Amino acid sequence: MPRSSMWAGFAFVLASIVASVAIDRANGGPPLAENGVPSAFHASDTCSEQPFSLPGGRRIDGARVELRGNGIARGLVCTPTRLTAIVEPRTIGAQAHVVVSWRGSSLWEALLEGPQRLAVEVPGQGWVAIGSVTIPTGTEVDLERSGLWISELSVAPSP
Amino acid sequence: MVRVVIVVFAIALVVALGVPRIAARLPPVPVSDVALLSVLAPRQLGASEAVGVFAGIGLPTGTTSYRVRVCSGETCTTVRQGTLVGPAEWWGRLAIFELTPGHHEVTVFVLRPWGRLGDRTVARHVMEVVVH
Repeated sequence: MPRSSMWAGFAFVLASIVASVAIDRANGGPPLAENGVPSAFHASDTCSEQPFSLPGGRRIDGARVELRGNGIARGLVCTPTRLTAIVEPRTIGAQAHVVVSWRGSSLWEALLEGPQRLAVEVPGQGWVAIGSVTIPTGTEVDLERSGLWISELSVAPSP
Repeated sequence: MVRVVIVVFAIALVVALGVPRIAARLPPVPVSDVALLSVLAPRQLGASEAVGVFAGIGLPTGTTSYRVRVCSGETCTTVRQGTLVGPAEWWGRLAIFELTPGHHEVTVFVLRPWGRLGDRTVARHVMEVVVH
């Protein structure tokens, strides 16, 4: 085979790859399979703390508040923070599986049968969420009984 | 013969790498407009509890989809998928489902429409859940 044909073929393949990469860059990056997508939690250079609130926007501010059913209390912190609160099942005799989550990480988790004080160190900027995250299997979801009481919630800079 | 092989190989490479993307005229990849704020789920639970997966998502204008997938060993199942409409900051329950005792991998996918090719995953979060 003539050497010139080999070089022509090689150049053609190389040009195809370069063109493909250029098209990908113009489109913002190569198409990604699901497994190639990183976890993407919100982070901002201009973080503005948002106090903990209930669904509907009511601020908690340390008061004893009721978190019904599968509601989530949440707040945005911008610096390493120590979060403390007392959590308890909404109904006497019921259990509540409570999780405190920061971004996608579980900072605190417990199956409660009564009041319990929690204290967690939030490592940095991100949304912190508190909720009751399970229901008993084989039963109807009883929203009248499920949920949490949250009291004495406070946040302070980590020591 | 060798020349034919080279030409066929080159054509196949062009088709595989370039032509579909040119033909589809894909828009920019929508990566930065969805904000996954937080994901909440139990990591350890008893067999008598059903798992709830909750999330906060900053939704851009338009339709955003989600999918919750559970992998147990080699078997993966989509337990819930749905659609949310923005712009909004949405907090709520994505899925609730029962698991058998053992180790499970739960993945939350957030997807946005992408050209004519359907939805594309723009955020993903994987959690290991252990049922005792």
